[in-house]
Amino acid sequence: MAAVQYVNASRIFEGNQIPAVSQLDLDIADGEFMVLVGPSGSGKSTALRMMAGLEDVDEGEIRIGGQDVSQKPPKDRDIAMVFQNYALYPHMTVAENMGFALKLQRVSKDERNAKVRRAAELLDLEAYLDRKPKALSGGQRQRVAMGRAIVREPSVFLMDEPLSNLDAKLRVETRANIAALQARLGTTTVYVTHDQVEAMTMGDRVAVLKAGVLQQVDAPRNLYARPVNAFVAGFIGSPAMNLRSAALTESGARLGATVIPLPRTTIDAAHRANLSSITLGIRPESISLTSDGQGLQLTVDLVEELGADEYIYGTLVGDDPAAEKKFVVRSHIDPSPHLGATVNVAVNPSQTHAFHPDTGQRLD
Amino acid sequence: MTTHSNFSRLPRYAGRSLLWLALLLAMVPIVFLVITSLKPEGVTRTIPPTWLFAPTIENYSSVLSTGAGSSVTFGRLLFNSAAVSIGAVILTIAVAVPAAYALTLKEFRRSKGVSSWILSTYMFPPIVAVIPLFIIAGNIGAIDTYPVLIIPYAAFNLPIAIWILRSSLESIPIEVQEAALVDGANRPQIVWHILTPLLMPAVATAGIISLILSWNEFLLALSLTRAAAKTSPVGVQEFTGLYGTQWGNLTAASCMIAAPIVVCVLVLRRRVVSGLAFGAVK
Repeated sequence: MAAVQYVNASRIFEGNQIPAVSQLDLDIADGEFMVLVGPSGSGKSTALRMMAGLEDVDEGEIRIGGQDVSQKPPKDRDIAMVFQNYALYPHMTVAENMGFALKLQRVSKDERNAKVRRAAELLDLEAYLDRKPKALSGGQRQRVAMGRAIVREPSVFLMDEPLSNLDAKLRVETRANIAALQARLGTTTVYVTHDQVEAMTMGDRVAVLKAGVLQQVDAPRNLYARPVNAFVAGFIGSPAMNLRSAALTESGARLGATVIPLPRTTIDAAHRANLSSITLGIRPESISLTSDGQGLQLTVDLVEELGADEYIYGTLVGDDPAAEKKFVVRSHIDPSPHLGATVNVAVNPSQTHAFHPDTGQRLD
Repeated sequence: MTTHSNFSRLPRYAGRSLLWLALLLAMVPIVFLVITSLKPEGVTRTIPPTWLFAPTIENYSSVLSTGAGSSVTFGRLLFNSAAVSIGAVILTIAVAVPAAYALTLKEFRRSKGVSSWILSTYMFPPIVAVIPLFIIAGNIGAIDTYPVLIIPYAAFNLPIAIWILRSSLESIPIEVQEAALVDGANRPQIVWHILTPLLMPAVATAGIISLILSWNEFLLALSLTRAAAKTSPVGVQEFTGLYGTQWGNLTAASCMIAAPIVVCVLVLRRRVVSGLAFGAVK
């Protein structure tokens, strides 16, 4: 068990001007499940590999258990890693795969077998110990990869998108298993994913990265409720938050034909920044269909039926016609509106977000 | 079952017939060789060739026991061939595996240039090396020893062996090596525990190609050996002497040279084909 830290860590690949990871500063507590999330190219896998010792640390430090390990090879860092494509040794059986690290440490055969057996019990792999990876399904291989990491009883688990090669249903099941396993073992875990649903459901805290720069690190609920900039606001939550340019008025911001009221603090912050318009963010779940004639009007372009909910994609009447993304509203109304119909929607004013139109920073 | 017109079957039958014809034509010298080796000495020279005779193995026994009249029996020559070829294969593989691994390391900046240079040495004509090797071997007293053949054979076999092994190594995902690094292996342990078992098919391919090349090699063996390390391809041409050619003994010796390689190739024929095609595709 150990606390893990990135101290101003950077990685610049040869021939590139822009760092893949830029001055990452992140403290991960002992036993914490930290998720690194971001789009492709955000530097999350590179940051994980820097922790593992598979990428150089060009600036700054990596600390495990308080010690600077930036120059140490992977085997001296007491870490275990689960790779995206599992990276099992094809010529070894499951038992041999899981026991390889112990064999290198010259652990006695009996102790090795006992540890492998314990990990196999934990992961429901006892029946497969003599099989080779090619005789296993994707989910089984993933469990063997986890077993290989668990057997080592390391200070830190590193997981690089371990679920992305599984089918959707198995992914949901396995992510619950991984979270439960980590809670049981209590090992500090750094988990990389591009899937924000995984991030939100599994992490104690989530670090959002974009283009190598840390945007925000916080508990999932706070990321959802108070995103620190427009990028995080649009990345966390599915479907994504509606972000629209809105002109400031005395009491709020104008969206379409209506004025959405904003808190005093937000308006003051906007005035202090000399803004005449802001980027207004409203989540689909903060909007509902209403029957009264007031409020916003939406022309329906597409309805996505998900069983429990439906999402209505449309164009706001009076909206900026150059807006690329459709306006999304979550509703439960049965029957759902027809395509081309115009519906009235009401925004919950306490659940709006305001961001600076140029920098994207939250206005408060 | 649908019927096809006879016309569409014709190209296939014609192609197959041509292949059979080519095969039979190629087999004629070999069949003749084997038959001649079983003829008693007097019958070997008749024109037209005698097809009906009492087969005998006296040629084989005489070749093995006395050889071509030199001090060395042919059995000894076959042994030398085996020793030199197997030695060359072992040396080739022992050097080629680490070399191929080094060429795949991303820290090795000039690896592309070095690989191309290594492959270019495959075009080096062995005859150019004969005189320098003879002089060097003479100076260190290595003429007519096993190493004087094993080392040059390995040197000439290395380019293709490295090329085959490197290509096979590149098809192993890098994450498997990274997983081994995280598990605590150092580089030699990665090569031994992880890469070598996965490279076995490529090792077999490179090995059989090296074996064939070394076993059949004539020029260096002729120049650098006398009696003690003489190999069988050199020995077989001694059956043509002052008093004419002993065809029975010659053909028996040739069959004995060819037989081990034919057996190896039959057992490992898939590997041989992939090795031979290697230069064409990559």
